[in-house]
Amino acid sequence: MNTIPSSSSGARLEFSNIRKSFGDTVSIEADGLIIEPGSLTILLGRSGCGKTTLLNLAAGLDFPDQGSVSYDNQVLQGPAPSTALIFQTHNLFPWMTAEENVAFPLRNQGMARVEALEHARQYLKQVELESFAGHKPSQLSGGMRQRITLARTIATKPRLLLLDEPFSALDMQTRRMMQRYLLRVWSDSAATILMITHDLHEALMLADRIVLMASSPNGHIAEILDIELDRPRNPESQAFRAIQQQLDRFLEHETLLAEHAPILESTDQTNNL
Amino acid sequence: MKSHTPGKSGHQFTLTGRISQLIFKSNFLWFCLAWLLIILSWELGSWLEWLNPQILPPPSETIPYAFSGNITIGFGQQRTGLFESTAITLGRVGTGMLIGLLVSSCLAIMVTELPILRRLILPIVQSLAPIAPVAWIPFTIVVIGIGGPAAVFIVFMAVLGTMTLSLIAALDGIPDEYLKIAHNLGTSRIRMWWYVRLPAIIPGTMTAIRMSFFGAWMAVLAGEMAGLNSGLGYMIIMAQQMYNMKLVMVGILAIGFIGFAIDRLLLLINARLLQWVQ
Repeated sequence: MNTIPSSSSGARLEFSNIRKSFGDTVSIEADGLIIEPGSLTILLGRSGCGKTTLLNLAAGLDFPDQGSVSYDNQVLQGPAPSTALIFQTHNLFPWMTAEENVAFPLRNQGMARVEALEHARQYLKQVELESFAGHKPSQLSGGMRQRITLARTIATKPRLLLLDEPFSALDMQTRRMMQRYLLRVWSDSAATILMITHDLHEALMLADRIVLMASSPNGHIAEILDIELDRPRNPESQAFRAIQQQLDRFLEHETLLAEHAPILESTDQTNNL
Repeated sequence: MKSHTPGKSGHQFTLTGRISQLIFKSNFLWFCLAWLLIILSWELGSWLEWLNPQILPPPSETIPYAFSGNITIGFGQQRTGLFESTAITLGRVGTGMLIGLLVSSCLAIMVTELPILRRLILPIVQSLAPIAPVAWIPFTIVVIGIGGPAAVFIVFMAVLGTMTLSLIAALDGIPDEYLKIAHNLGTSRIRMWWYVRLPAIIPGTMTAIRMSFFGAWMAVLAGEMAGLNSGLGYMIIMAQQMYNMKLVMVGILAIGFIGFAIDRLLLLINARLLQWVQ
């Protein structure tokens, strides 16, 4: 693998007594959540439990109504520095070629176009896509697009990497491959990673901490699990399966609660009458 | 060894496949066929004396007349020709649309950058957009006069509302992820407009231009017919007043074909510019 220097260390995040609402709905309440430097933390939970809100707060793209988010012990007042974002879709600008996409943040930093494109081709080489440098995203598969996104992420040398279900639109095989790429980027860069996924298997393959989130009554952190499985992880191992079952039970319970919530609410209202 | 091409994929390589492809997939062929049918019906109507050739001259007279060289009408200063009139009208539409695009772009940028202006500008634009372009003609003739600037103003008013609303809608419709990522990648405000917002709204802008063109094309012709003293619309009115019905028909056909050709040209530019659209 090409050796382009990466960030020296990951960032530390701390969520203190935060509360964020949208209208009358409280999206998330969390206190004392610390994301250690260089860790790979997964946010796991049903839709509507405030995972994306938490990620946006970590990115400094949104701000809590109450409490604070600290980045290396500094309260975030704007977009978090040295942070890269990866979404499920729309990560690459479709009007730019692969190399232009990767060169974009370098150009933002003031690098000359020729030099930035040269660097971009090196980063593309790291994800084995240098021969597709001149292709537009629409000419590439979903997996290739996400690899280019990773190449651009490496180019920005982030200390914090925030991923919102980045592989959920990919097929199983490509998803596994992307997980390996992500782990490689993580081990090379030592960046802190905070990632959302709905996939239990993915969470267990990647995380060294899983933050289980619940949506009732408001979005909140239900439990934090430290995953102390050896790497590379073996999904066939007993320990892996035991944690998987535990997480499965949690999500099933959450689903049942969410399905019965409207019935419980209407019963409450009837009792109040 | 002779290769065998089974199934549908091989169909197009056979002679019948090529012919059926030519017949069913060529838009140009269908365009020609549709017009051939109209011309034949028109000619037949004249030949059977269902149509009065004095009012509606048959294609056998109109088409050769259209290609007879520099067709002119009128006397002295009022004298005008088909090519000259077409060039004047096209120039007016082009200028009016260009000014309309520039002004509506500025308004859309202002509305996006300053939320307070959205509350101020949007109601005005929303009130202007539904006004039919022809409604501006009497006002324009009184205020600006009957020359070229008046026609350009009518085109401008015809496109301003719809184009501004389309551009604002296109800017509002940019996926949030693009802006978040660009922001996150340290993009400055100017680079954000130039490299992210502007390319992202090209599809919406091109659609807006195409839709506005029809409005502008009809508005300027209506204006020229209603009182402006030059252009294709004016030439048709003059031909009608001098009872040159062949020229009236040639003028009408020119309006249709030029409108169609420009729309095709815009589609072609659209396809070239938007090769990246998934």
